[in-house]
Amino acid sequence: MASLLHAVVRMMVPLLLLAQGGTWTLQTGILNIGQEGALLLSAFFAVLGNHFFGSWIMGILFAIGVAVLYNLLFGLFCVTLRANIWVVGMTLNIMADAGAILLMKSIFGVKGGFRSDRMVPIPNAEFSFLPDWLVPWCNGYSLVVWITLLFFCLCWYVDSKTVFGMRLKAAGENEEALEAAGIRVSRLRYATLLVNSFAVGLGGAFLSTSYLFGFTQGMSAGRGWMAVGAVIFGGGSMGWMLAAVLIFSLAQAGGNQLQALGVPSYYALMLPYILVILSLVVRQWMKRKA
Amino acid sequence: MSLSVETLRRHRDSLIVLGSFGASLLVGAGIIALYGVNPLEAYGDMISGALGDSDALVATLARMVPIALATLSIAVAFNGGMWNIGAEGQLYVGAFAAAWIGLVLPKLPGIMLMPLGLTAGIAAAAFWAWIPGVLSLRRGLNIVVLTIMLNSLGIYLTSALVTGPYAGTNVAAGATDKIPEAMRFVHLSDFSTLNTGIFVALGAVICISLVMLRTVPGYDWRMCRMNPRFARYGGVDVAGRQLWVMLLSGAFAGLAGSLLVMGDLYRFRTGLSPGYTWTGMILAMMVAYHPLGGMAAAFVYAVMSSGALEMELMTDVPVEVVEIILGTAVLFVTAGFALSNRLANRLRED
Repeated sequence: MASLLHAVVRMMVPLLLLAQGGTWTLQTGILNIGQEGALLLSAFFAVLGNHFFGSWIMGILFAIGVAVLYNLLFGLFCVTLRANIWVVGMTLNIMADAGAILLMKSIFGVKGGFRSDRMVPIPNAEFSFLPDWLVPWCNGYSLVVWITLLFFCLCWYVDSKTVFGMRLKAAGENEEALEAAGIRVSRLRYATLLVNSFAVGLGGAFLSTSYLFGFTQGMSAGRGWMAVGAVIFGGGSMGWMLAAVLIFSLAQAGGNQLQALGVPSYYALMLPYILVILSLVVRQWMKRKA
Repeated sequence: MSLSVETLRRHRDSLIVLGSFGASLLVGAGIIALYGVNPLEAYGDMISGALGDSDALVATLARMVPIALATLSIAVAFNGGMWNIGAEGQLYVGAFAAAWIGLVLPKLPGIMLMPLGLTAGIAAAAFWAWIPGVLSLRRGLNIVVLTIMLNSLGIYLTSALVTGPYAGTNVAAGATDKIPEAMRFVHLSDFSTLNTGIFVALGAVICISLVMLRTVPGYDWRMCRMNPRFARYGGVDVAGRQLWVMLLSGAFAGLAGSLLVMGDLYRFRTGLSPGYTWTGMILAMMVAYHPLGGMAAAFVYAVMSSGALEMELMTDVPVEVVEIILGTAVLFVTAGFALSNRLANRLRED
């Protein structure tokens, strides 16, 4: 059971981070569909920083740095210029994909993937004071898992208990009223994009320097899109978003489990995608009934 | 003065697109210069490498066919306000369906097999596009997420079939056996995969361009994107029109896939498309969904990518630089339209 929990948590971390970041941008009226590209680019830069400085902290900082640039670019077009979100998001996704490969070829001279001996993985958090029966449940998780948990709790508090949280929702629902109250909506949007950058950067670093070790082409593998799915499922609500993240990560972990049991891998790989579609259909049906 | 403003306004879109493309070439030149390569020479080599002699020209044309169809698939969808980013999955499903016809009906004569294969490929892909179309138009689901999920599903499903029940016997894993001879489009040269399927593609391109630019449905599609409320007020069944847009978009992706199977490879295999529809998306967005502009963009892309392949062999400049250049062009186009709309609004207010 403890190992199953580990498997689900490993799937959950990047999804939850990206979905949290995306939920806040959605609350302010910006559906951030550039997540897939941002995640991939962050994963690459985590490896880059980690390799050159021999430090996982530098890896995380590099990942967050590139995510900030990426999200600011997204903001420049979608917030400041009010350009079409789909066009800008898809272009950035495609450019990130090509850009990661271009940088990998140019800096490391390799195709397909890169890892090095100089890299240091993000350490696991080990709590020595725990009673024995709790050890398999609580230990052995990457530090990022705990940061994610803290981040999520903090966001939950801000979202439900503070003025800032209220303003986020107002920015999406009634922009003019908020502007009339003297609040700059575009500034709120940029703020959520920055929070999202932190989340995406951390998620990318987790992917390439903790969950897996090294960068491979296309390693984000649709996680960014699943997160967008969870954001849409939630429709701005953090509770529903969390529910979607749970379902999707269970499905992913379950798919891997099925492969281990001998189900042909491609059928097992299809499972999470089918579940995403089904859950969106059901959720939409519930929304209509309500 | 008023005349020049009027001409500017009339050609605004083309000016923005061409200007952005020029600007992105400058950005690309900057990137290429970082590798210590003279950008002018690099661009010159690209053109001569892609168009220099008849062999090169044929190879470039062969490269252009799937890209052009993918571009149109996206252009049709985006032009009609349907954000179909699932064309890659539709292409795979269509390609497999075409190959499947050849594998299960090997004895049929070519006169039946060829139309049957194309129809199956187009219909299967259109069906794969119909699912998210209906779910988004009638049920209000988000089409982007649906289509991206169906991308992965379509690619995994065809992979499962081609490594399982339809695995080929005398071929590396992940490919079917060859389709019967009667079903193949003949290669036009020994050096490339350019084949008679290009005429089918050409016909399809002409038809859709005429429909998009010269007919009432084409006008309605544009209105569905630009002003659905106006379209509805004018008596247009917006959802119905948009479902057709999805079907057509899927059909073009399916045609691209079918021609890859029936003309280029003569079999289905995993990794059949190196992301043709993603490139097509960049190109379609670059020309603001204009079909003929899309063809020009597909030609430019074919030239640049053929040239870039050679450039990667000779210098350190990776081929991905082409995607970066064209992506930059899309960003410039987007910014150009946004700024010019703003400017127009301001002028109107004054």
